Amino acid sequence: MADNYETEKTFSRRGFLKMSGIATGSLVAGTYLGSLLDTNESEESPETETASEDSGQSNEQAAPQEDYTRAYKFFSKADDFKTIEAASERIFPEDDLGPGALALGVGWFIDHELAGGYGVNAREYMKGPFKEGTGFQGPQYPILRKDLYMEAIRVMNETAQENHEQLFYELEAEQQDEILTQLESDELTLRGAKASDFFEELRLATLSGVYSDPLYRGNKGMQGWEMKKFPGAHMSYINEVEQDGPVELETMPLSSHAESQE
Amino acid sequence: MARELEKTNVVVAGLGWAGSIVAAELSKDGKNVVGLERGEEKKTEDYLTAHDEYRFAVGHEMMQDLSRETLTYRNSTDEEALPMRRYGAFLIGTDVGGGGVHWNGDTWRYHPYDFEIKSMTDETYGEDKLTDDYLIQDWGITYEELEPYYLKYELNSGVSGEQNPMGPERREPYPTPPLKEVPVLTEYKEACERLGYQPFMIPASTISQQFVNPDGQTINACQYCGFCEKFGCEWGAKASPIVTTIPTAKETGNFELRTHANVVEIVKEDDEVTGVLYIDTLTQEEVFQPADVVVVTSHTTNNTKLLLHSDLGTPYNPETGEGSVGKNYCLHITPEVTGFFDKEFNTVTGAGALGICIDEFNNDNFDHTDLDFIHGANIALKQTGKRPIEQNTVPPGVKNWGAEFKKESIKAFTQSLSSHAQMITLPHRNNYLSLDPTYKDDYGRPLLRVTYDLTDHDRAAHDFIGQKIEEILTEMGAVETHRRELPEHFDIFPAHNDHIVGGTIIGADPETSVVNNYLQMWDEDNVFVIGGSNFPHNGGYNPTGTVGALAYRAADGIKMYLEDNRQLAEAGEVAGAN
Repeated sequence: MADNYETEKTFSRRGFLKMSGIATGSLVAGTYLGSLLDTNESEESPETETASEDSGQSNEQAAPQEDYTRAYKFFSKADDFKTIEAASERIFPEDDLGPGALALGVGWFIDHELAGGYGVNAREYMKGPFKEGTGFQGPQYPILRKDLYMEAIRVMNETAQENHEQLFYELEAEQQDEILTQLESDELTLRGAKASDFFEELRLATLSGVYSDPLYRGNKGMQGWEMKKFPGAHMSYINEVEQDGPVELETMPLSSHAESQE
Repeated sequence: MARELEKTNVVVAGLGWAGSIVAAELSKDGKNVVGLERGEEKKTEDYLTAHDEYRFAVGHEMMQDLSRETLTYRNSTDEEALPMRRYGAFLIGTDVGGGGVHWNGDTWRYHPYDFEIKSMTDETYGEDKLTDDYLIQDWGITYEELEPYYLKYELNSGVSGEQNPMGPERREPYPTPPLKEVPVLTEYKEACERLGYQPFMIPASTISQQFVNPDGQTINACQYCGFCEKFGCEWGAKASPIVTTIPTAKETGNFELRTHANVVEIVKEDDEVTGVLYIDTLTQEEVFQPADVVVVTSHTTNNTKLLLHSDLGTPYNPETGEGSVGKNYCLHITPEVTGFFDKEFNTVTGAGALGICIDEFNNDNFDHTDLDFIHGANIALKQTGKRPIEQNTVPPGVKNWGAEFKKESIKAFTQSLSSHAQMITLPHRNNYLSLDPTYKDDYGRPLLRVTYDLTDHDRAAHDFIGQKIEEILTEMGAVETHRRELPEHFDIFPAHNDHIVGGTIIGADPETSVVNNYLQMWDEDNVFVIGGSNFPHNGGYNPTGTVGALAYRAADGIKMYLEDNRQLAEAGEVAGAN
């Protein structure tokens, strides 16, 4: 355990320094970041540590751990989960630029979010009375997102069964698009909210799953970011800001600078 | 029954820029100051996790928790207002430092014209330039009078900038030189120059080099990490209360910071304000904090809400035009044009206030004789750092999901640029703040009700400015441009510009303003109200610099009041007028 602790600690500091740009010469004194740098300089030699760690780390990566986080936190049935996965894939499909929502883990992202504050509209005003509004007053629904998603999944699959005698995720892409278009244009009816508002919700959740930090379980392998040439959680671009054209840096996740006592 | 605490000299409700400036100035002067903040205490090291777009931008972590309190909204008085259930058009900061932590850092002085907008417009264009529906009025203070306070605020923050070629000449240069003129800005600048304009760098509180302010606080050099608006700065490189005024106040030993303290009422007993009532949000206990002076420095909307809940001042009545609390509520309507290019730009790096701009169409810098609007806008291109979840622009005609969307949105992430303007937005007799008759907050108090719609004036200015922006982007080489259009009515849900002002406005006339030129209430000598809520209209620049200047002015006023407990202004008197 003691060995693990040390490894984690030095690795995260190294990652942090790299991200923050301190290692490339921009020094910031008198801040928390500055004090972190001082600590590193006095307690250890970052350059030497970095070199030895890098070799150690590549050995570790040779035997990747199995991912135990791929279990349902919100959904209970595979059919429901796969319906959301399939719908998000149509919103952000795989193509020659790279993976789509499915491979990026957007289904897992949505599962995780629906199990938390997002699913119960935690930071939204949910007191009544609930009235429809003029269309310029924002969403006015009492339904919680977790219930709205289940309602939409029910309607999507019922529509798929009626028209094609299959579940939504079993349909051809064009058939799926047809149902999504019906949601988008309110040709289908949901209990609790306008279908078009659910569709917009799903669209935004899909984009969030594609492009949020992998800590949220989507954006697998940071490939969402890489397609967009977004280098992730770098803390400084002092050396890149004056360059013309996209920045080419190693993509960085937030986990690179989380400290833990595990 | 509320628990009563020991009396203090000054109690400050809300610790954003305005409250923390007052706290710093008064505690330095030897006064005991209690600062009440409904949110948590935050410091620079709390933002090491700042590079999380989902948490902070999509999840609005630094904003007021709407499940506890929000506002209601309608477009006109014949509609029923409904609650803003989720964030969209504007954001309300919370936690120590408030909006002064999650801001972008554009730090402007309003133009001399802004402070005398009514008399100067009348003089140049006649009294009939606008109809009586537009409640523009002079501020009761001139630019000259406010100038030293602007300088104080700029020095506190180490603002980086250069002389505006079309602005009043500065008596002192900016404390630090402008931020880097990066390639995108150079291209925009050259396009502006070809069109005959005089571009200059936006004054920025994301500063270009390390600066030690007059209070001994250090603001670090910006690292151009591209995470400013909606985020805290992990470098301490964006001037904010948590790196300047809060530490200054604490170092005096005269300042007590109390978090999770949500002020719900200014208490008046026997015709005199005696302190504030707040709720400890962790225990729900009611606490009474007595004070010689009460300073109201929460968000624009909450400043007005607090006065209305406390029955201070006279509520504005849109039918009669009488009363002033809640009057002159304005948003900042922001023309925006996106240009699509056939080349790739460096779009992910940047800083909140890294940008270049022109003032040719701002203030009264051009002739409005044949135009159906007054004033104008500062037009800018900024490189704030694009972030992938919220930046999914596609060219006009492309559907917002599916295969083409994916391809085009990824392409536009590096090949499109948006240029926008901070535009004059005028007060209108029908746009105002009042209390909602139906909806309540967590403490059982009526929510603030916003009645607001776009005005013909602002639509005219928006179209004019939008066209100017489009011309610049086309000159810059955009192969296609897309101008954002205004909806039929203002819609509270789509993201917009969160500069919202008015409600407790400054002025020389107690009948048409809430506070005098020291931000002291006309009706209550020991109550000062400071913030965007003081602005009688939204000018052609970002508002924070003016909030800062007004707060320093108010601090002087509070010191004077504590000496002889008097009303500091006479009706009709304009500070700084010759």
